[in-house]
Amino acid sequence: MSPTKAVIIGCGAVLEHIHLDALRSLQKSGLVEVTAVVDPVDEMRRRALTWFPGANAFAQVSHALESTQLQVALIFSPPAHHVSGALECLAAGLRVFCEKPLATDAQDALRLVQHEQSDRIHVGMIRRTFSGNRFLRQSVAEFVDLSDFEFSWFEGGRYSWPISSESAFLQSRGGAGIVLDIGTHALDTIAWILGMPDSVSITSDASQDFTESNATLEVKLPSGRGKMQLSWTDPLPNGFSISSALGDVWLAVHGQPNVYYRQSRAKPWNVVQPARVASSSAHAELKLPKTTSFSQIELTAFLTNRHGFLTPVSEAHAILTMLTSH
Amino acid sequence: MKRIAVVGAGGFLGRTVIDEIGQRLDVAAIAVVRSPKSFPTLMNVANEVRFTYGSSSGLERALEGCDAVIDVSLGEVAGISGAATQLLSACQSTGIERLCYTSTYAVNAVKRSRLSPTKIPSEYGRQKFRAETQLLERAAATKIRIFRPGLIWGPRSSWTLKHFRSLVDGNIAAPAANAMKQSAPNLIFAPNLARLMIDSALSMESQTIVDCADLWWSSWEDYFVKMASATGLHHSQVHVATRLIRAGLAEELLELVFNNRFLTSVFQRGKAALPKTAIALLKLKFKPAPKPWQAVSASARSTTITTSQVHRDGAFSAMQRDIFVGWPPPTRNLVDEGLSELVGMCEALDMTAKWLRQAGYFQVTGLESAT
Repeated sequence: MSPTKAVIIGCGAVLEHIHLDALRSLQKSGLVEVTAVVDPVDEMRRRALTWFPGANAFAQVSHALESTQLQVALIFSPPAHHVSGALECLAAGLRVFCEKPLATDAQDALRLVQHEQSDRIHVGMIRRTFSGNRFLRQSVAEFVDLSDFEFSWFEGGRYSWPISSESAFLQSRGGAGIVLDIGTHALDTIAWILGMPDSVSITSDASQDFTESNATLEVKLPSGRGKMQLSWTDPLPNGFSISSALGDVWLAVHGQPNVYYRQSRAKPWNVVQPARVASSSAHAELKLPKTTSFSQIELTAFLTNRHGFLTPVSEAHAILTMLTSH
Repeated sequence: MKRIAVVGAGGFLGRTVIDEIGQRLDVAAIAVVRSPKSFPTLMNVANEVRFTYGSSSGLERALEGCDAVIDVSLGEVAGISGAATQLLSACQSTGIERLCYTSTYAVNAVKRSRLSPTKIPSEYGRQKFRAETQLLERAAATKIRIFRPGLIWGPRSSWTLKHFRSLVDGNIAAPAANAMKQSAPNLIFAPNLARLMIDSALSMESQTIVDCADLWWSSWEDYFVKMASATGLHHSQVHVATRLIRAGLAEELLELVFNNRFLTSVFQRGKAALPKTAIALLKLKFKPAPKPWQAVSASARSTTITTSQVHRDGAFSAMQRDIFVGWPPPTRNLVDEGLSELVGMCEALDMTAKWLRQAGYFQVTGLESAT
């Protein structure tokens, strides 16, 4: 089978620090061929060509679509440009992988949901590939009474993404704060494991023109409720727990595979057999080596049409609506 | 309004200094950081955030218009002294009169090593010592105050998190209050250190080296028991130093190492090769005897104290050393003199426990219901 011809839209930090190694590996294995790269900045394009020497570089998406035979688009540009890029690619008949968040504005993102080919776009929520999350999605009812539960989510630490400008955090420039950055991951994971929330209320420290660096999300689900605490300033105990009369479960939020459970608060925590968690991992399902990165799993799933690892655009839009309607 | 540049503001201590400046109406906090990735940490608390992009010209631009500098940057250990002199040059070229520099208590180990080769100086302490020396040599008209904190604790401190987790696990490794070689813990509550730095940045008139520590703790056991109490843990949770006391054999090994120059040099090159218990015992054995805490007048924050000199054979004797600066409990005098009131022990413990609770650590460790 010939490799899928792909265009990369946005050659900045997301490509370099998350997807580059995975894409080069997939290109080497013959699953994908990066034939075009798009970025408005000369230096970024030049740098991308050193990573993908066989590709052509373009400053605009339309030029790439006109000049190159393409099958899929991989959108890694800043969130404010996701929707416009995705619409152009859908119009050209491409399947689209879009990094999260789907957009910075739910109204803007609605254009993708209402697009007649909306089933051809998927949103990358890398945490759906985490073994612990996949295990809980399948087995949470074993440990927790899902008719009445509470959850808590703590995720905090110094921001460490290698950005080159503070404008990414200015509201006047369409910047995104911690709610869009981390909140989308957190809420998508909750929705994926426990079902779509009914409502979310948010309090944050956003001030003047700056986006928020701390936020608390109160989440209501049909038969449960929970609180998320997100911070770019304070080190928090990065984990996610669900509690009920039947028992509690806890797992880390950054992809560590161990899942802990206990039958009541008075009892000690136990670790779920690692083999059980591993059996529901993405690696096992896609028959990939254990060392395969989460990014490679995500892109492999997209390129091979295994969509259980990606977020449908309608779900991404619902999450975005809850997070941005305040 | 005075403008204080906080260099390295993105770190734990930097953020504390920014928060403390934010409590004052007469001072503006200018956060100076290397790159925009520190921006989200500071954007909603500092008056302004400036970036140096790692260059000396960038640093000079970032300091323009500021009245004083508090340096709490960390950086690479190997580059500590270079960064300090670069900062001093930038202060001098931008006309900044006052510089508060964060060093470390570990520089004392460097001095001790000159007296006794058996004391192992850390690379961090050596670099900070070099930085201190260069700053004082080149100070010219710049007024410099060098702070030598030990272990900085309080909300957001990684040490506090480590101690809290150890308490919850019942796994504290520190000398008990009645131990033979017990010494007062070298701890400083972060907001107090920040307040002292801010006061100095606004009003110091001479070069000073400041060894700063809380005066509250009579022993490590005292600190851990009070921390346990503040966080709602029963004092029986504090199991102090049992691990160290049991390790009699390791002490003999250390005697051998310390009485043999060849082994000492081997140890200096590769102390990681020794068991952790042996290293812990080494620290315990060669720690100075308990310091007699001297009364400090309410109006002065510095004095000279008698401390211990370590001899080649491992024994200690008294010596006058450096300038030790502690401070008494807050009084009206200090406030009247324009100095900040410092946080007292109970309030410090309460602030720390409150932060641990708000940040979710009580919930994660199952303490929520107990408190």
